[in-house]
Amino acid sequence: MENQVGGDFENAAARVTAAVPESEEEKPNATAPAEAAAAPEEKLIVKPEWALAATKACFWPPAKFIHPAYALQDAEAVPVVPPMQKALQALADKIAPMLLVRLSNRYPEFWDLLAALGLLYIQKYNYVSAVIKKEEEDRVANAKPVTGERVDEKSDTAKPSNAFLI
Amino acid sequence: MLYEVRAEPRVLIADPKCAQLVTLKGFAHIWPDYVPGKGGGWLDNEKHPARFFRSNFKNDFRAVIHFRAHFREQLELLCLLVRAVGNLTLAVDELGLFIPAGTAGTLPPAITSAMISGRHEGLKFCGTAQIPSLVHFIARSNASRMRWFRTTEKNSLQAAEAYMPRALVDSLPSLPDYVCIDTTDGSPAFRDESMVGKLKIPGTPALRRKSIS
Repeated sequence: MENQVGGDFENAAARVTAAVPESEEEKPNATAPAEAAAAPEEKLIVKPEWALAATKACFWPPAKFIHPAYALQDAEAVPVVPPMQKALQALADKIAPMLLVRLSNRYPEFWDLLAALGLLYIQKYNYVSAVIKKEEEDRVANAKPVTGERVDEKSDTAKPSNAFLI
Repeated sequence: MLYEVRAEPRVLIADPKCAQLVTLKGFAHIWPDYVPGKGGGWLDNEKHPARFFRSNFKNDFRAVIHFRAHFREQLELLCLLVRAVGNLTLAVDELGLFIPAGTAGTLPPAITSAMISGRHEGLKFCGTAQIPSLVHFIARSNASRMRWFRTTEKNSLQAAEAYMPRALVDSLPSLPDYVCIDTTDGSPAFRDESMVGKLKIPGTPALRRKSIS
């Protein structure tokens, strides 16, 4: 069996190596200022409108299933927007990336499958949307014009076109 | 064990005692830094075992890797690594420290794979144990050959009953030095005296021939 230093060995070497502690990642270094300057451009900033929508969304389930009066108005949601914005920002900056890294490292086959299925779903969705649109256009084009006449049993238009007389 | 692997071109010895084997000449010595816990492993520094294998991937080598603690976890990492390296003999000193007796589910997966199906990657797995009964039964049952040296430990004598006739089990407590009972798969157990005078234990004076006047 011929040995080759390749992907299998480097994967194994990575698996047996300790993860870098957070304290070492957070230490300031010479390249940190440049990286910090570049970071805001890539960072996801949670807008107040998103926080407002998220706040109102929290009251959608009771409004839907208990009473519509639970639905939140903009003026009512405004006091909760600042803490909601802070929480969403923390979710985007820390929690979501950490969860993604943890889960993706633990179950790579599952996430690969999910990604492949997701891509297929998007392709199928686009195709079916076009089909539905075409069907709707055909339905509208073939629909009989409505004249507003009253239809009753005695009028000609009331006769079925294919009547089976027994 | 050193006698067993004397002819192997690529040998890696796992040393948990860090005593006699520390001064073994002719061997490279690896002292990895291990970080326990979740996400733990060997520190990525100059002592990381992968660096040794990266530079000796196609070469013959003889190396000892010394573990100070966390024996089971570190052997698990080592088995993961050597399966990717392939074509080597992994000799584990004091197997009972690395894979103590327990149920089948207690054996870590990489160690199990290396022992049971490591031959697919060209791995040979061997080990020593002062008390065989303390070694996991999967390791014992998968061993194609065992050499039983003198022992008086009750549980080890009981474990030996599954491998040799009663008469040989009864002889175990009184075996002379360097004499063993050889139990090999597919062959009857026998008393092996071929190693008398051939083994040199590190740190002990060599046997001297007495002059007859």
